[in-house]
Amino acid sequence: MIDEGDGLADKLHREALLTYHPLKLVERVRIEDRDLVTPLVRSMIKYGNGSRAYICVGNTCSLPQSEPDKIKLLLKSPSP
Amino acid sequence: MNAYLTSGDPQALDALELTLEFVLREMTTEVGFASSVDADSEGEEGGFYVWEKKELMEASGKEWDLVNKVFQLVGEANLPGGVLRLRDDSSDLAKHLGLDVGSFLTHLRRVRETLRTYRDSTRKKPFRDDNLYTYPNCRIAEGIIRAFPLTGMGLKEALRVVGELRRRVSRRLQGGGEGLLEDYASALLASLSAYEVTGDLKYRDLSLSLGGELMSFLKPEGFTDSRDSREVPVMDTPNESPNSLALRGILKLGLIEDRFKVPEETLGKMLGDYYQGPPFYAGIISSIGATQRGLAHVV
Repeated sequence: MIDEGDGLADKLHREALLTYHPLKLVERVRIEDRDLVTPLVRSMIKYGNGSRAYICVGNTCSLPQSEPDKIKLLLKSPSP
Repeated sequence: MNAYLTSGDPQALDALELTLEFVLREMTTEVGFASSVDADSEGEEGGFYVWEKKELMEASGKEWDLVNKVFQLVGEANLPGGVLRLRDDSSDLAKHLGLDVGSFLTHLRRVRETLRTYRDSTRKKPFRDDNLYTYPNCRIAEGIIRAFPLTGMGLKEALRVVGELRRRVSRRLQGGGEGLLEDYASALLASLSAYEVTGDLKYRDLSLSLGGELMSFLKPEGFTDSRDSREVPVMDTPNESPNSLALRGILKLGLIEDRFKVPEETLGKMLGDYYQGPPFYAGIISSIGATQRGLAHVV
């Protein structure tokens, strides 16, 4: 998730880490580090405002999410 | 950890916390985690861990009634007493005592602490082997780091282990012979967990370096035990196999950079011919199943 320093990122991060998926990678990116991330992540995070999470399963990615419950829902559903 | 995340069973969380407390209390060294604790002490096999009923009554004090209801002493032929074991499933014991499981486990935790304090003050602790082997250190570090958002325990101690890792991995955390597949694969998973939980980019960069090294173990049949070996260890017996660890790490790294890939033909070969049955390939099956359903990437 993208951490814009507004306090929401902690909640999003925790939900992403504590939702089970058999094979999952969670990346937390501080907005000031945006130029240091991989090109794939950089292209994804330019859309949206405030702390937010993008949930990809397989080749499908969600719109930016700012509600922790949405992360759980999207990780548990077959396709976001 | 996964049992709790998927079931919400408080017994699974209790087991996780008890395990972490034990490791952090009994196995932590200045740099990492000790390799083992002896079973024998003062020349007696199991001496530190067994109880006789009279001693148990004395140690329990006013908790004796509960201790007697929930624990039994399970003896072995060559031991003078027995080890403590719950008489039944925690949920059944709680029901029997008219408590909800959460309250029962809290109460049980207090009783265990009373008994442990008594035991530690009256017996000599067994010898601890403080050798810092890379593979077990990285496995426990990964577990502690992954559990940290849930338990709040041990992150500093686990990150000390990851802090010892470099691109080239040895059999021991602080030097020794060239690392085997299990060392590199467990190091990668520990490093990735540090990146995921802390968000610190230095762990991502370390993971990418370790992944580069790990790819040199990959042959058409799977990951070999060492760079110059032809053996491909794939069976989970009883621990998750080095190939399963390596596959999991490389698949996760593939979500960061697409140079990390395992060809489909190789995945098929890693599954072998199932001659020992699917449970012995559970880790690899789980990872391949995840690739079919879609790996998850949260950014």
